Amino acid sequence: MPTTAEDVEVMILAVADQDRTAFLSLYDATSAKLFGVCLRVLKDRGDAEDVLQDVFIKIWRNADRYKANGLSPMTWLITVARNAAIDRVRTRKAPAEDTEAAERMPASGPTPEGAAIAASEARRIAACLGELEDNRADAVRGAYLDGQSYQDLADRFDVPLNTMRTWLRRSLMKLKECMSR
Amino acid sequence: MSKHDITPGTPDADALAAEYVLHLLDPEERARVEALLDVDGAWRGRVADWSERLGLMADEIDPVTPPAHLRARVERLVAEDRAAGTDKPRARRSGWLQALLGGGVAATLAVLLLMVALPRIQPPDSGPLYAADVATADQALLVEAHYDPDAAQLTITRVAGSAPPGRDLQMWLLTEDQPPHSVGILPEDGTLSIPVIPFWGQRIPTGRFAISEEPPGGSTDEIGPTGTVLAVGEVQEI
Repeated sequence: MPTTAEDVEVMILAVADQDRTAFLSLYDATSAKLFGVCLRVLKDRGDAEDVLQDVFIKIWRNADRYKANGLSPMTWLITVARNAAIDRVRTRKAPAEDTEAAERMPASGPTPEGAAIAASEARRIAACLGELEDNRADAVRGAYLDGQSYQDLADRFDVPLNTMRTWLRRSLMKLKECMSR
Repeated sequence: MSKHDITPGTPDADALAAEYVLHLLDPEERARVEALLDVDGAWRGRVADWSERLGLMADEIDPVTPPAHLRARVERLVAEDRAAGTDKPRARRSGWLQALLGGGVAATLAVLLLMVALPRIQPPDSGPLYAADVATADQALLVEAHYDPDAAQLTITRVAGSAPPGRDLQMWLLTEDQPPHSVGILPEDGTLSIPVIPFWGQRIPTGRFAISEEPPGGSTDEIGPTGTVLAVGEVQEI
């Protein structure tokens, strides 16, 4: 994406002033990324389209509060999209489908993507995920990228829920420690 | 267990903030964190840090161009939103939360907290009355607050729940422009009636009440809760 973070921020601030032209520019600059985020969580094109539409309405209505949360512009937009997609998953999913969805998840390791990631910050999290045991890193990635719940993760790795929670919390703390080095 | 024990009352704040960002908390835990986010800048900082840190993973998500008709639809919806006069949402107390979550979770929380209907009779010649149900999602703790501006009187009734052993429950008024204001320590039973000065009285209608568990005698911090915020309830006109 050629658009810089500063460009995106300027657009969000203009949207906060109800500038529809800026809103469409923001849509053009970010909708593909946010659609990718929704698709990754929802794994269904129709649902992802519905949620993306809601996400942009939320952005339109809430842009004036963007400044208050202290997030960088893309993080804010991705957070709005990701939370909306996860809320959709949690309301649509019957418990029986959880295991099935988890089984369909491709086994993903931290290494293959590493090469493709350009930004050094992003390389750093990939490297730090790489320091975790394999399935611990997969659990962190499953929670963030796929929006998996503790129940999804416990089913996927076939461990009790509390064990999963202990695992994930420890992994997150290791990740933080590694990234602050 | 480890230091990351999840027993209520021993939360590892940083891990909890990370779980909040990942959307892993159950509704009750999430409500507790959101109550903290409204009153505690350190919590907002933790959540922002984790959002940025974990957000780096989104780098590996490939952009996918959405279908063209979606752009047209969003454009139309936004134009209608303006036409309907809903383009500038009113300032809300949960502004930070709404900004981050886009309202969905906040709305769910409000519904959870306001599940109990308020069958009240308004005397014919009085002005507006205000009430809030301050409750945990499971209603294990439920406290009713009732404010009568004409009488400048706040009445607090504990309907269900009690303080953890050796702790007190403290009630707070959360406003848009002031730090959390201590309303008082809840008595074990019965009703507490408190005279309200105009400064706070005019803020109650747009405020919220919260309950935290604190050392005996109340929070040791002058400007807000030191213990866990257990419940929050929005004030409604009745």
